Amino acid sequence: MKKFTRIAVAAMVAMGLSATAAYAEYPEKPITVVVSFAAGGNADIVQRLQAEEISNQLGVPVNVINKPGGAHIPATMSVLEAPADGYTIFNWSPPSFMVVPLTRDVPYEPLKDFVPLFASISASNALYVRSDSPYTTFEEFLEGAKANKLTMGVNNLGAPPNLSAVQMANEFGLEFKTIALKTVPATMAGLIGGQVDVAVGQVASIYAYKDEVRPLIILDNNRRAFFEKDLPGVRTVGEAFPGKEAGVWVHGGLAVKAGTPQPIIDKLLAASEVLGTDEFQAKLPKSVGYHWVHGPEGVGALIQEGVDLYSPILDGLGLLHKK
Amino acid sequence: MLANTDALLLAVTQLSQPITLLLLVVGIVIGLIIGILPGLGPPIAIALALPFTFYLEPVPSIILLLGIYSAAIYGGSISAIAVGIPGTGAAIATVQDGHKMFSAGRGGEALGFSLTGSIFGGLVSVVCLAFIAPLLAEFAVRFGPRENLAISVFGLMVVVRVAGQSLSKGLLMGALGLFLTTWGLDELNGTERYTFGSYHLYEGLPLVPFLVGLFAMSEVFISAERAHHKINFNQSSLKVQLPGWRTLVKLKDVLIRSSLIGTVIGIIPGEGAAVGAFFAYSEAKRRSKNPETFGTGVAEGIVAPETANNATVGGALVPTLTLGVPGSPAAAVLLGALIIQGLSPGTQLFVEHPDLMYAIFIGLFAINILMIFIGLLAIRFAARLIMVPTAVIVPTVMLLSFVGVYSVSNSFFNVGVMLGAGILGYVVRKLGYSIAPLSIGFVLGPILENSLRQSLTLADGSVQEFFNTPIGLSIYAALALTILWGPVVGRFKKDKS
Repeated sequence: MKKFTRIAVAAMVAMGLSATAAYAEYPEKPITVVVSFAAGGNADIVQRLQAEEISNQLGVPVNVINKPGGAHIPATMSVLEAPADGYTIFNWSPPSFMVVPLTRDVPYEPLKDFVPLFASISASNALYVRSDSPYTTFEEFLEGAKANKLTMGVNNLGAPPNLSAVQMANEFGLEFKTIALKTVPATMAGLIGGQVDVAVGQVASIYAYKDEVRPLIILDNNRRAFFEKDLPGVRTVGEAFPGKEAGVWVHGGLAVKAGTPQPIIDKLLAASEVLGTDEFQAKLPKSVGYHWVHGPEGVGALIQEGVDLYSPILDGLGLLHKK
Repeated sequence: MLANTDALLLAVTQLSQPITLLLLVVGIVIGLIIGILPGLGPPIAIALALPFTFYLEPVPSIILLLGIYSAAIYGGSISAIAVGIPGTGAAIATVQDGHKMFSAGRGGEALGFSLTGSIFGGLVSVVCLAFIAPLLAEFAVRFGPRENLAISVFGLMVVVRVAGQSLSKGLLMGALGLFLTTWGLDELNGTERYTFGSYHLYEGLPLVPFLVGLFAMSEVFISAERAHHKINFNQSSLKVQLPGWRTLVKLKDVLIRSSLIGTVIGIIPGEGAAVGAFFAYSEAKRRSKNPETFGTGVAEGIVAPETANNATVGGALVPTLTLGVPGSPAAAVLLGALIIQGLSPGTQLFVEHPDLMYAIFIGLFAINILMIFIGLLAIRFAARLIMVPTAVIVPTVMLLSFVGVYSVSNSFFNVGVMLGAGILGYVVRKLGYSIAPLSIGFVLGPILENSLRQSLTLADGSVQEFFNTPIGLSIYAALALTILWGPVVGRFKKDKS
């Protein structure tokens, strides 16, 4: 019996070793990254640039496939239905990891079912008016918005620009007629075309409409690195009105299925290190904001911040999904 | 804006690089093939080529994608005519007359008409884009919720009136199409509508699988019933011929009108090539002296939609380039390609990159010219498809549809939607209803719902504010005119006699 145990232990050790050896060989075949957006958007573009870089590091092809539709749930679930072997990686984003799980009954929990590797792509929101608008400062806008019920343009109800607008309305005691125009550029075009009086777009929206729109304030508490590049000299709410809250949570990155062996996670973390470098960021389109957080703990905390920020706002709108 | 000769010269230099010229040809060939395959349309064609543009300069990459875009829209008509299945949504309106003419042994002629129309429409819209893009952008920006609502109502009514044989049947099908678009999450309050407990339906029934099912699958089912049916044809139907000068002169009104309709519809964000083609078809039918011949295989019934759908390409680029708002789903992917190149499509693009603008105008012009020759080669093969037995075509189309639909979003759910829509299309057609109004209801439904609800928010309870839109009111007036014109004139004539 003792002999048997010894053999069994030896066999288990051997198996363990061979398993480690197998992880050591990771990756042996092409890796798939699932993007829950259609091809061509910012998230997709950045992911493709990142995939190329990771592919160079790991020496195997990293293929990006798009699974749009179904409120990002089918794409998310397709990663969880694949084995936790590091060959299927998920491109997480505000809808799949934040807004949809907060507002719907979804069959996954971002922080339990996934191990996030890093957060990279980011954005912040800003309040814009037409360049011929009578409001030249945020203070003038506040007076105008208190006197008249202005029409507010956002991309989608429940999405970060809408949540920024709602938070601003709550903090400053304003009321708007809100129109959802589907995408941020369509929102900006709606502003230029006079469909709405004021709009929440992204900080980087300025590049495409420099002469037609005027930024009034950045709807964020703290100044972040890319603000000065996009909107030099424009104040944040936190700077101009200490005590007033303005939070934005727009982040995206990669995550693997929970249960993926640690050696594989370590390899992917090492391979993605290069994505945080200035050299890589210089390759990105100028309209892309980047906020680099590397490692599961840091990103987990970042995601929790988003949950804490958006839960009460969504609750106020009656959109929060109560479990 | 045409005064900048330096930028013009720079554009020409960039365009005459060997790599750019090569990509011009490659783009057209890829686009044609993808356009012909049912299910694979311009958006997916451009998306497939997108990764290659990472390694290219802006001008060659845009030329590659524009070549694919234009040729894919044209390619859809080849399968519409030769097999009776639109290769893309843009070719839905072409099926009726195109396939009838093909089956009547005039296949080469039908294919010639669609090529001519496509090139003509493409060229006119490029000229519009090149010379009045900033003006057109002004027009595009005026289209808000209330204007979009008016144009969608107009589109739906016009198409329903012409697409079917009977008005009540058309209305019923249009309404069914609209109803099916209400499936999915309510975008304003998050209510789940007809999701049947499945998150796959959260964003509603997916457009491409639904349309491929409705058209390709239902056609496959119907063809399968008569697998041994032989089409009579003679050698002359294999001969591809472009319409002669005299025919062109006869068709000039249709060509010009359809080009303008296509360009305008292209400019309006959200309305794509399919809608443009239907508008042009219905307008050609309405203006025709013999509207009853439409649907039996007349030249105008091919030329009008094919001219208009290619004209939407230039039109759709107007808001895409000047506002950053894509004028069609395909243009949305194109927009991504521009962003990859570090460009910010929007009001600043013309100012900051005049050379790129010139390169796009001239390149698109060249693409349309080159498409004549590559198109002629392609339709020579397509005309011979009539010799292929149905027993071979049916399984081939079925296989291609499965592959095409799966690849759009890598989802088997979408394949299921395609099959479901195929059965729906089959039943509807067997009952003697037309699937065209159903499809147009499905295409316009989301725009209609969104713009209606946005308009209601804007109006805030005031009827006056709801109709406070000069553009919208003129569209409603035009709609009233098209509906009432016939009966009123008829009454007037009767009184006189």
